Amino acid sequence: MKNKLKKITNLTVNELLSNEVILPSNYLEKFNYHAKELEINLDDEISKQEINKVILEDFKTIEDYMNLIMATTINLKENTLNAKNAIVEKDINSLGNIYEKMINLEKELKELNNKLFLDDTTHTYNKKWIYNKFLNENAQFQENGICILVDVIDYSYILKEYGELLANNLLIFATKFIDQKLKDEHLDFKISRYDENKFLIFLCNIDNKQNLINSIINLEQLLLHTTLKSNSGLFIKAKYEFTHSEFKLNQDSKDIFEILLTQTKEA
Amino acid sequence: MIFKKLSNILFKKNNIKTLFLVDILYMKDLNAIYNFKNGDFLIKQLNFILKNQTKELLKRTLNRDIKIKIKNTHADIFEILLFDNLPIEEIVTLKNIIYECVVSNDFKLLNSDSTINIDITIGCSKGADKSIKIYAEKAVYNAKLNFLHYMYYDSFLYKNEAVNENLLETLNYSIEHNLVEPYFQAIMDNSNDEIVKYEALMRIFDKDGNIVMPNIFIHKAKKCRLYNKLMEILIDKIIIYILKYKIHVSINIDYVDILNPHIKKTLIDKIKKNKVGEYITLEILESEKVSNFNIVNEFINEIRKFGVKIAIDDFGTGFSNYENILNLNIDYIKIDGSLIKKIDEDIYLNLIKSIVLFSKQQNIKVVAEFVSDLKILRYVKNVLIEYSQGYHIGKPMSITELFGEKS
Repeated sequence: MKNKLKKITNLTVNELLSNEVILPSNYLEKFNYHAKELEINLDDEISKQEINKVILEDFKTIEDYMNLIMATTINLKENTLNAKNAIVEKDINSLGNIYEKMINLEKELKELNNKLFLDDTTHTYNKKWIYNKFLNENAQFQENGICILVDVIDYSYILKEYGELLANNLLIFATKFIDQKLKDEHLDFKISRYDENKFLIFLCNIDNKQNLINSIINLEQLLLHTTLKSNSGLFIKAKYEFTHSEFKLNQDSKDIFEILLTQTKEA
Repeated sequence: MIFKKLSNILFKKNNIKTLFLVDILYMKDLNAIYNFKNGDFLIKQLNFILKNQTKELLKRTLNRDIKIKIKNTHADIFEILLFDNLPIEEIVTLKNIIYECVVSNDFKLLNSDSTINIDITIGCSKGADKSIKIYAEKAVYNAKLNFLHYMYYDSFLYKNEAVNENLLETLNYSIEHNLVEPYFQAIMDNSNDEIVKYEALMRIFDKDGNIVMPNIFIHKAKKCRLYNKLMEILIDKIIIYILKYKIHVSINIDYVDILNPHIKKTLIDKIKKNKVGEYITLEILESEKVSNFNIVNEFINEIRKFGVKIAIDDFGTGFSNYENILNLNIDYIKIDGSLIKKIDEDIYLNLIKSIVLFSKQQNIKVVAEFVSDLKILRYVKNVLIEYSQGYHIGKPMSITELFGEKS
């Protein structure tokens, strides 16, 4: 159910993206429309129960998050106090222990951050990351760069015909492949899942724009020429489409995302 | 019922079919060992099994009314066509039934009491049009090539192969407009950090002026028999640049290129005519395909007369046989990038050290590819590899990027 709700949310948000103001009534209207399109009746008892379950799960995640933050703050306070005493008493052993504890704290916070800002399936960043970390509070870009929209076109077909596991594996493969190739090129980039089958790659600190565009075109071609084998003997040659657009510091992200999404629809 | 069938036909609701192709493995061997009459007899028996026992089992398993057509299309190939869009789980189940039915059967021989077992390869495809057969054949072919007994291609997903048509257009466009260009990647002497040579890497351009990399077009170029033309343009341009800039250049050459008399002759003629042998190193790709070392050595000895140096490319992967290298008269070994990438892992470091030791004893110089950062370069220098190449040293660049416009 959570995945279905995610899908409805994505469809709704994408449709309303171009609106300057999104009123709750507009949102609800579109949300209901897409739910109906996906043959989900939000008013029936089973759906209601499942939605409640999803909300409860989300509450639990928030509660865990809050508990961890509380525990971390208390730990941090204790460690700072201990460090102060250790420095005064020149106790090197205690300082070593405190340092270790701080590293563990850092690890825990990192995990927490991952839980919040990483996509469960592909481990790329999620949409929350785009709007909370990458863009500023006005959803504007914080630096200059190029944004690439990667559309895994055959995802829906594979999902329908061969199931979620295989479809997700295709996404995992594609994102890992892109990640490795861009790393090989020594590029400064971030990949984020934007939609069910769409990813955004943000590239900053670009020395040579033309070289970068060439790399993107070749990356798309490489993916198109790659055949994947599943355990059931199926050989998949999926179709991907890359579109790109340049963004500037303080430019509204909505404009860029709209350009990219329109380009993929037209292609 | 009739109405439903009619509406299906009219609205093309379910015109997707699933096709299994069954191919007897090593049929030629069976014919050779047991003679052609027995070969025909085996095919007859298989025909009977598929049309009776197998068909019955398939119907029983599907447990619904699906039309199944089975025929011997040619020689030892059988076609099992199911008029339905089967889900992958059912396809796998049916494939197992077909396979079990055939391989577990004892096949009789003429004028003999003994029986034999045969093995088969199954290719499967699903789709609505004629392409279904093309992809089922492709599945059989690739299954055989990969020593698998089964492969499945969904023809809907392979519609993307049409994309390749654009690539063919780009190849022809690049040839017609002389747009094959060498890009040069620096090779550094680790003893003094000086750039001593460049590897020439082939690039072509599409109509919008975008660069297309070799890993995308080389296979297609070879398949479409356009590779020789690309090589010819590339060599011509490299020679022009050598004459103009007096640079030392490494050129990649495949074992197949050496076997090709046209490429071989063109290369030798051009080097001889322009007297550029001293500037050229030929990098022969280490490959399992190198079966005749005499031919390679003959070529090496001939081209060496003009001052050309020889390197073995991608050493350490593929068949990597030291004995084979000993039989070749070479100057350099280029250790494959996949090994250099992992030089910080003990197992790879030891492997690289052994290659370096061997090369030093044979008086062969070593080049490390894929030196992508300072850490790798430090490792490479530490194990006394003579030359480095990779993004840390320099990315491939066009001649103008490298030297600017020179009149």
